[in-house]
Amino acid sequence: MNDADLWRSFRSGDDHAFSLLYQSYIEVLYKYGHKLTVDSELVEDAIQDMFIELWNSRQRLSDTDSVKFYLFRVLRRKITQNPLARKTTDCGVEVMDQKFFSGSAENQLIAAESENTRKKMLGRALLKLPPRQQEVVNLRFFNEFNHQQIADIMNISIQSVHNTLQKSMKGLREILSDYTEIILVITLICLCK
Amino acid sequence: MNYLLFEPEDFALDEFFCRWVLEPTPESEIFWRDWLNDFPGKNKEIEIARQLVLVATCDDEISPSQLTIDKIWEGIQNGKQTKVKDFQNIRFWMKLAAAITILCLAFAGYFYKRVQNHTYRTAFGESRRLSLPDGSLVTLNANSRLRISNRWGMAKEREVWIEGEAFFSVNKLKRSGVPVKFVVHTPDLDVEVKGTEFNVNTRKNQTQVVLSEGSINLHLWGIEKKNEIRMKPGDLVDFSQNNKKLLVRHLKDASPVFSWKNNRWTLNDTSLEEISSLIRETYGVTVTIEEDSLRRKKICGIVPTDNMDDLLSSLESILPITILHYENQLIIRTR
Repeated sequence: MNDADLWRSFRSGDDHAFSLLYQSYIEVLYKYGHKLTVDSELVEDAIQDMFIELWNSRQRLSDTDSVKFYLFRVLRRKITQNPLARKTTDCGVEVMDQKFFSGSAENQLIAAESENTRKKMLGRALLKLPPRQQEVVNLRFFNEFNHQQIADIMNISIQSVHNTLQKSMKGLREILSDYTEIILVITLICLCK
Repeated sequence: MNYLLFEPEDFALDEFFCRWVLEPTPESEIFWRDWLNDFPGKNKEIEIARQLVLVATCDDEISPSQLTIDKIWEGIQNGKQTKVKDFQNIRFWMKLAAAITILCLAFAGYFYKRVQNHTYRTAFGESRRLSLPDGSLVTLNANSRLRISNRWGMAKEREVWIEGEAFFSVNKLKRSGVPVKFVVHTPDLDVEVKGTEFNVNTRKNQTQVVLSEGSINLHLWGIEKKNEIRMKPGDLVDFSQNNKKLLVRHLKDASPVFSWKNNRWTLNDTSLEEISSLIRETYGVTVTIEEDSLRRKKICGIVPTDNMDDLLSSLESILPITILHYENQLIIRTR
């Protein structure tokens, strides 16, 4: 069953379709929510509220081209309109964890052995970007929304989306240039595998 | 697509390139291998871009645990409205009566609030798009207030009051064949329109009106004669009731005046002093310029205003200045 069918069944009151919708989107929504606030409880509450409201107003909802887009937009509004979310935007994220990058080369290679560790390391590079840039990168690369959709989700102009993406790529490049060698080694290892 | 002019960032943001990095197909593999053969000098850029894509797509957030997923789902199940089955039950009817009473009270409260509270406000650094009951759109700039008439929809005129700055895009409205006027009140003047687009700014103890489209009538306060002005597109009117100062100008291009609603300022020989007062009004911070010579420095260009830090860093890149930012205070000095 594709998303559009799932959505239609859910709107006609199919409990199973509703549960499938929840199962397929909970993880990406949860992760995206954490780009907007560090408060896990707030993210959980917002997701819970959103799904409750979806169910209770299902007969009033219309067809949608992209269920994912719809859910992201509603979730963002829910979280950003919560006054508690605000204090977290300027919260500095822990600088890239030193333990992955210091220590002997041997240690680094061992750390790089596991694919999982590599992902963690790369993820930490992302966390050095300002929150807003992290959000745009998450929407564009991890969730594969197009620029227009991102603009609509974040309620900003398409030009701002473009600029913020450019800025984040530049920022990321600078962050990475400090660690280029390590990452090259890791990438090579992963390619050889 | 001319990839030759691309920086690594541009590659990373290119859909086709990105697909190749993440899910190469025989076609894209051939394309990029050939391309690199043709331009071997670009090897390094491509490698950096590949890394950017890999980093940007990686999953940096912690996944919710199964426990969390179940907990949220349970909360959802509990919040769902359930269908009522037992109509005979007397307790059901009692509950229903109680619910209806509460609902009525809530509605009464809601309408009371609606009549009372028809004011929209924006905080420092926030701009908001509002849609009025007649479909007209208002973009409210930071630190501004828009009040709507309590008798909106009943009166002959659609009346609003503005403090701060707003861009209006007014819909034409007819009631039983008669056009309904839209009136914007400021401390200095009234703007009367039928359907058009214009900007109103009441900062600096005066009112400035700039017309983008259509035509509008102004009614100036505190003047006996000749207090009506008819504006054409591109006209700019400054008026202050306090000192009765009136200034009428025609702008070749009025759009820079409204550029704030797209989160940017168009600066045209604007002095650092004027920019400082814009920053003060928009973001609610105090701004100190350390040297007098800096105040008169002028800037031409377009700067982003989505958030203050971006704005400050672009000012720093245009002028030889450093801007120090402590909580609610900015200090500008020569670099």
